[in-house]
Amino acid sequence: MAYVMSVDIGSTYTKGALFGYDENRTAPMELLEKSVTATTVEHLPAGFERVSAELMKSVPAGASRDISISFSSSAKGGLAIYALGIVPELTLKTAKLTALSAGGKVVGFSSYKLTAKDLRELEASSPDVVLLAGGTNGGNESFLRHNAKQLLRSDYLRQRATIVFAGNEVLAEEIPEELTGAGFDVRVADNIMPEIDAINPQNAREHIRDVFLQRIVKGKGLDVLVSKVGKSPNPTPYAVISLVEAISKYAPDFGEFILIDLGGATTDVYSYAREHHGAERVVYRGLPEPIVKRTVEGDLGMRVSAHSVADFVDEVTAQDPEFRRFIEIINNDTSYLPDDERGRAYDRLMAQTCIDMALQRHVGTQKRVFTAMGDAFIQQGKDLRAVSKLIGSGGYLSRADDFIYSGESMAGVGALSSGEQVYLVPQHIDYCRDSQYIFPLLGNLVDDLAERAVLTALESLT
Amino acid sequence: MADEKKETIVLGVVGADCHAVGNKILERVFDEQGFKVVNLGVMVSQDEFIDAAIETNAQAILVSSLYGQGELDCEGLRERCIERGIEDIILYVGGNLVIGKADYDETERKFKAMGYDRVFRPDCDLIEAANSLHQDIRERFGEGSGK
Repeated sequence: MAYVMSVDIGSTYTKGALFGYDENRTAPMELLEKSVTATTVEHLPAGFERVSAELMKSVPAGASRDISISFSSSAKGGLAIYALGIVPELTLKTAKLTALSAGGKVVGFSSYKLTAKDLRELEASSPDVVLLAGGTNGGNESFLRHNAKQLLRSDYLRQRATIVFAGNEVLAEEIPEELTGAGFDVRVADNIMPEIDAINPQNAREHIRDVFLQRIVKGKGLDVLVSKVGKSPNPTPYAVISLVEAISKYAPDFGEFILIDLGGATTDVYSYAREHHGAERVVYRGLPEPIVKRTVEGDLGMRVSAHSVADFVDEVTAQDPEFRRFIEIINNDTSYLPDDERGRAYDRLMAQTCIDMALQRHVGTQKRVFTAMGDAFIQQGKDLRAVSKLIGSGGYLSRADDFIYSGESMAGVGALSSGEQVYLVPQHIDYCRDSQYIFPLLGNLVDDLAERAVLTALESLT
Repeated sequence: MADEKKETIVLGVVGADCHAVGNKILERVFDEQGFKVVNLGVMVSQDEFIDAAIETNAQAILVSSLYGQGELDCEGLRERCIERGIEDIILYVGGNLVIGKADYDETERKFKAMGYDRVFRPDCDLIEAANSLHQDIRERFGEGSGK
């Protein structure tokens, strides 16, 4: 039996798990032990050591103590990225998608010309990375030139941020050289939108991840961990995306699926689904979307975001003084766990509302239009109507064996009769849970043990 | 880089019009005539034409309309281009622009007043159209303006 350890340093908790596996057989790994402790914010290795020491106790006597450890860090919710593009629906939208798929969070964005006011707002958003996009290859140059000139004026960016250039490749030397010459930290990635109907986030995403490693490793003692463990951490969402991609690759029979990571403050949605084109009377508009897509909703979560979630529940409940009281309680005490059935019912309602809203924002839409040749449908974004598998993960969803997401509450927005616009949400949902809450931890193991991590993840679903 | 010297044009069928065949023919002919063609397909809105033209730095937008409602769909495109900073882009329009067999000269006058540089009948010669486009681009943006 060989052993491997995975640790995730979250903003609140540091979690870890020890797995055992047979080196000669590709099979699900055995989850031998889990451990969790409060994240030691000032010096991250302290919590990490506590967790790994605890896990080490479960390694049988006689086995080698030299165990491979992979780890991830959410580092304040990920790298803060400011996205710059030209047209909001084209390069800016691609820039935002790229930032999210790199595991970052979008702290601000701007389209067309970056004004002096935009620049002040950009600085106020304290980005770690400015993703400078715009123009297809051989396309527009003037906006990128203008925006690069504006960035040059910022001492903040010179000292504190990295510029990732991912625009029109015609300028891929001129602009980075000018910025580098002025003392900026610059990386040059492939254009994220080389053609009007093609997106290419992969290379820029890798550059952003490198910046993440370089930046977060400097602080809070992570450099100590890196030299000790001999590996760099993943951004936590990046680990989850890696796992989703690995499932699609190593378990093709599992098919298309959606993974929801519902946290206290945010809701992340990951979907693995191809775009289905070619339906009759459907006209596809807008950018193609990545096969593995991640969206993050900063106003949807079980605790920290409770107030904004409460705005989305049905009117009767919203007016209910008991419910209002519950919202106040969880707002004041974000670690509160209800001990009565009424509280648990409110938690279920909160979870269902978060998933409803996050899914609705993640999926594409269809709009019916009437033409001289009969009616037709204009579709934008991903059609997830035929995707039925939905995996719930995160502190609440992993634990909640009394919660099943049925999607019934979404029937209204998914029905054509409801009005002009239809959200392409799943029509039928087959819900299961990451009941051990090990998906992010398994994501860390994808680099070395991809197939085993996938088998373990799927086996753990309940 | 590919297409370095080519002139870029944005092509599409405007409005709620789904006539796809002519659109494919135009794409093929203009491609053969040396343009980099960004084809947006059918049912394209005015802003989608402009979005694509901005990102690709196109020199011209070619608007098709086959279903007789061209006047409604095409009106205001020049003004939107001006508002969005591509005021000097070349605009071509062609197809069955108005319902019935209206007088072509009248139609041409109307669309030119809307800011279109050239107006084409459904039976026009596409090679001639491509040649005049090369010429118009040279005149407006100078020799070798293909990006």
